[in-house]
Amino acid sequence: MRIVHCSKTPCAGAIEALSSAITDYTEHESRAINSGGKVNNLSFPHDVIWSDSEIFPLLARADVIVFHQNMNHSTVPMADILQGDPKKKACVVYHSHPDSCDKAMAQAGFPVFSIAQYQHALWQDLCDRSKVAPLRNVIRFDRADWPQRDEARERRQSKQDKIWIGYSPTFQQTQKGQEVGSSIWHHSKGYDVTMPILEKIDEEHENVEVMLFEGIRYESCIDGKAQCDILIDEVVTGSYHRSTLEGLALGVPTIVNVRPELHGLIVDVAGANDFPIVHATIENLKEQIEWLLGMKEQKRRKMGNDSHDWMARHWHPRDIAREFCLHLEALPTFEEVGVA
Amino acid sequence: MESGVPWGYLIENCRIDVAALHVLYNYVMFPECFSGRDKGGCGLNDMATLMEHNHQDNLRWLKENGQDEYRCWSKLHGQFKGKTLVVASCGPSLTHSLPTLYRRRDEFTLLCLNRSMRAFMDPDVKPDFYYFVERRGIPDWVSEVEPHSGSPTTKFDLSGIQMIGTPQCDRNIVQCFDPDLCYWGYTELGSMGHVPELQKLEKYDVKAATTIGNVPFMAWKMGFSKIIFVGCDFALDCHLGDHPEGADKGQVVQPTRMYFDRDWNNTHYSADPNWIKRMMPVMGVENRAVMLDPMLSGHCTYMEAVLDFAHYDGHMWCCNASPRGTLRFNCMPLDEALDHPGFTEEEPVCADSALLEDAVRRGD
Repeated sequence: MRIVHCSKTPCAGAIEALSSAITDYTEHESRAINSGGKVNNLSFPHDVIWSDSEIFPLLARADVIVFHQNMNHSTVPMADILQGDPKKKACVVYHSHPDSCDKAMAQAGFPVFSIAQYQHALWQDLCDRSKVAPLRNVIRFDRADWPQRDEARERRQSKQDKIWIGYSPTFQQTQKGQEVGSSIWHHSKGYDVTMPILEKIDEEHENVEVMLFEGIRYESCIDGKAQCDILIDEVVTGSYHRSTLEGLALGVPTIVNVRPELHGLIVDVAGANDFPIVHATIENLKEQIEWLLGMKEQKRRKMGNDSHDWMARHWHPRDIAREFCLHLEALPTFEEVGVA
Repeated sequence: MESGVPWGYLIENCRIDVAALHVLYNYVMFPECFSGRDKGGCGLNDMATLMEHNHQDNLRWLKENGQDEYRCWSKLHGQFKGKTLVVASCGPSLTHSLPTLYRRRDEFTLLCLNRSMRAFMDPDVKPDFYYFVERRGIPDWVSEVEPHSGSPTTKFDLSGIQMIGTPQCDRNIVQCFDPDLCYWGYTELGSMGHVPELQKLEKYDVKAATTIGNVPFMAWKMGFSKIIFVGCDFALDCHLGDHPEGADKGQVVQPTRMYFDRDWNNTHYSADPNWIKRMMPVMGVENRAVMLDPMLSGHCTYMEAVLDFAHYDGHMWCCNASPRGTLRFNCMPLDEALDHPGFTEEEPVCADSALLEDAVRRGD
């Protein structure tokens, strides 16, 4: 199959990661097109930006067009390309809250994939459940340029003797529209309530350094996380994000709050018995951090190693790509979906 | 046709000369229907004669401008007997045809016009010919452009593409092509032509004001047996949208796309309220609603006349495979058009045919 992924945003590098894993681990050819360019002036490694003269041949020759997030089948030039070759297959992958996405394809009856995080249940509520499949977010820790934790720590330029706690909120402040439960609530990762706790930890523990990763290049962000001893994704919304997966893959003990029902989904899609995070809520975040701080370094490293192994066993890009391609092969054609 | 009865093609005369961009001319095949008022009306062969004169004029122009050598496009005459030419124009429906065009690219010769070349820059689908007659081209016809400013960025790789044009064309475009693959000597018989005969025409001139209007004649001269048009809409895509003053005022038909790769709002026309006022929704090919303005309508009827002549008089099988638009001439789906055997009994009357020679001998 020739697969083309179309999106208007890089989705934190998720689309390129999925596409490249398909090319690397299956017999299928996959390309990712990002028509919107950079978001907040941030690009991600290997991002492909829309080039008009390339897009038409790619789309017209594709067997499967995978629409992501805010793209849909009725936009230019998608509608023409699909109608011009109704044997093509198409589906949509949603990476966020339904209110932040273009729902036209889900409403038109195209098969839907949603990232196996908090949003999966929301998409299931919105669509015919049988048409919504969970998709594991791909982290390319299998690539040669993925940082090695121990090497990364040796690159620490200062405060080498301290225990680094990393935190990477997407937005610093609770802004309008980020109220609890809103469509972009998950992006703030509880900055307003988490930071005071981290500041208190920093105050009370001389051997701790809190590192904020924000507004920096993806490569720098990952390298920074690899240098940490403890990573915090977020503990307010009840969902994990790519940051958790990155932390686990880097071999860094990672704190996150995962609701029980979401935990069930994760172990289900991963084919695992557990999910090796350090669970915390905003109420016991300080306590959990201090529990990790109180551990011998060797034990923290062992936790990290175990989480890396878990990712390799249950969340390997190879397995996700192969599974996704099986789904793609079974998709109905544009004609069969019956979109006018 | 009943002998002695005057008849001809009446082209909608849309003399709406917006900012001197275009003037359409009546193109009349048979002057007698205008009771001798026309001094230049002619048939395809007479047109060929005028073209030859124009060619000579271009040659003079080149020499006067210090160019001693050039490739005359007459070298291409009669070279494509039995072949199919697909002409990709820039209309919004071109994207619909792209999957089939890419899939079956090795079955036809491809000619692009102006911006349609953008869709064929993949090495596997490059056009064979580019036909260009504009005095001023637009950078994104030959290069990627920076989305916001429109400044040209990466130039397309145009190697291997043969350009047919005139030395009067925009040099910024012409110079992008390999000089060894540029064929000169063909232009529209319009404001670009230097032929003295044209200056004498007072009414019902033999002139075209649309680039694609010349293509059937060119294809005929080159000897093609079949010519298929895609993206040849002469119309804009449209849809039903909310009234600009609010949804409570109902719905209106709005233009959505102007070119295959451009939506309406990304064209400078969208900011011109007068232009939009002249547009009307009409039912086009395959009963798809499109929007039309008088200028496009004039181009379209001119094209229909040229195709009618090329098809029935020139015996070059012509068809419109554009899935939308207003050009109603032998319309059919692209796959069907490519599979069509064309005229099986009679060869096209080609440029080097006795008919043409007769016409030249007569000194028409």
